[in-house]
Amino acid sequence: MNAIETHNLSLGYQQFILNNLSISLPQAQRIAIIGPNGAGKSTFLKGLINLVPLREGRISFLGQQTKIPPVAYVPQREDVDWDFPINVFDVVMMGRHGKLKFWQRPNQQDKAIVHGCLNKVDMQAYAERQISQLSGGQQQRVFIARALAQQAPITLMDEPFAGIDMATEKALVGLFAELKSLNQTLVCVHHDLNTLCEYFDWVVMINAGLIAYGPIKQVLTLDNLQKTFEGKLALLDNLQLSKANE
Amino acid sequence: MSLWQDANFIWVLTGTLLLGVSAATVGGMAVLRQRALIGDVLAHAALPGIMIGFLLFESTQPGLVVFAALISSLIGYYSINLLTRHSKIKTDTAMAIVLSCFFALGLMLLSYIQSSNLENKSGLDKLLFGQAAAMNQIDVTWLISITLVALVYLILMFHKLRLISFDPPFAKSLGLNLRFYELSFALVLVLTIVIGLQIVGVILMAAALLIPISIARFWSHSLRSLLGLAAGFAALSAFISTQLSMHLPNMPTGPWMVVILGLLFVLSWLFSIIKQRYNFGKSHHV
Repeated sequence: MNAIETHNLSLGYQQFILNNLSISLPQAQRIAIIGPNGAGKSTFLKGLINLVPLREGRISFLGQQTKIPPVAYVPQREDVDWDFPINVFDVVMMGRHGKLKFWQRPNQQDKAIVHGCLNKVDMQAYAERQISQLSGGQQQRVFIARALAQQAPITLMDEPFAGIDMATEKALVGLFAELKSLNQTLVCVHHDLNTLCEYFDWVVMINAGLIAYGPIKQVLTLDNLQKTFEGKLALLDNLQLSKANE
Repeated sequence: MSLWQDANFIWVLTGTLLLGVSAATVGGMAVLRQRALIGDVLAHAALPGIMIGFLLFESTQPGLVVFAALISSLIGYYSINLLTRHSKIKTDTAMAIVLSCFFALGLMLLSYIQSSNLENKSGLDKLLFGQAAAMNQIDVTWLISITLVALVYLILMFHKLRLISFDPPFAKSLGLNLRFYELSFALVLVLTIVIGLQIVGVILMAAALLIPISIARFWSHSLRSLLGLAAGFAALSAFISTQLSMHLPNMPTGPWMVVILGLLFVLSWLFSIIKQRYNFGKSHHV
């Protein structure tokens, strides 16, 4: 059973941003979505969870079409106002609110889960801290903890490595491996091709449509990279050189 | 006779206090959702509804006024949504368009009513600047009910409203029904505004919604205490302004309330500057 399957998916507002996308992503893999700016990487991620209008096609998660997908979501950090008056604990608790009705309040178990998730990203000491006092890396850890608190089998992340410190990057990579070992599926929009092979197992290459997808070792060919980035990538020249040297 | 034995004074004081508290908390939530001006728009958008309601029923009964204003403000609210969703107009422009068009229509109808021979028309012109002194027991009963509705709503929905204000896409990804929360919040906001019109008026309503939370932000960082502080500052300004307007004839409560809030804002700002300097100096020495 695949983690995510889409059939003839078309997404977008006035114009279709992504067209006719059919894809099957397996469980328990770390999957990167790559492509040039404006290629529709974030749109694809958002489309999977109804944040962008679905024009055509269908999506299923773990073999089921559900109204509320079993997915945790980590948006881009700059999408929110970090001056908002709230502390770290309360932000992570938001991950539990999908399961609570408006009259219900988090119970002891919810609180224990939140503390556990803060521990996993090494932010336990910051639980009472206002989010306006966090560094970029700490903000990202809080967002990851919030996604972990959702306890969903699939996690979607929109550029989790953007603008964070090395320590946080290392911590995230460790966490990714842990999630994989727990049979969790991870889908990330990723920018840095240098770390792609190290951090991920699968890749989805997008440029206004699907170029290729599959295990990195099979799919990450020069030909596919060129189709995806259309010569917009200095790295490609270097790759070409190193291939020639081999 | 002392002021406290004057029934009218008690009504005015209770009414102003209640309005201050509900406007500060509901308005505070709107500010944190970065929708500061929506209250201003809804207040202005209420005016034509009240006028049409009067033309139809020739009455200024509180129930009718609330209902007519509610319909009118909600039409204004949906007009903004419609404009931003189906055209390239940005939210601030859409709000300005709705505010001025509805207000113009309201003013036009108001001056038509003023020059007509219709009975019971007195009081309608007071909606522009408010007239707290004219409040009676029936008005205060309405105020109490609506303040209760607003506070119960905020307490019940607190977590979800905070989540939706902070990160709407995440809230949606959780499967929360954003439309339900947005519409219900708009309803409570409109109810608060409508009740406030009589006290502070259409034009100054925005101040009662926005200034208390802005003052509170100088004093606290947690949302719960921010809303509590905002309510406290609003109550303080309501208390002072009713006293002042009783002692100083021809200086009405509504504008006084806004002036006091403005003063509290400036004082809090100064205090935060001094505190920052002091903290900076202290850490500098250490």
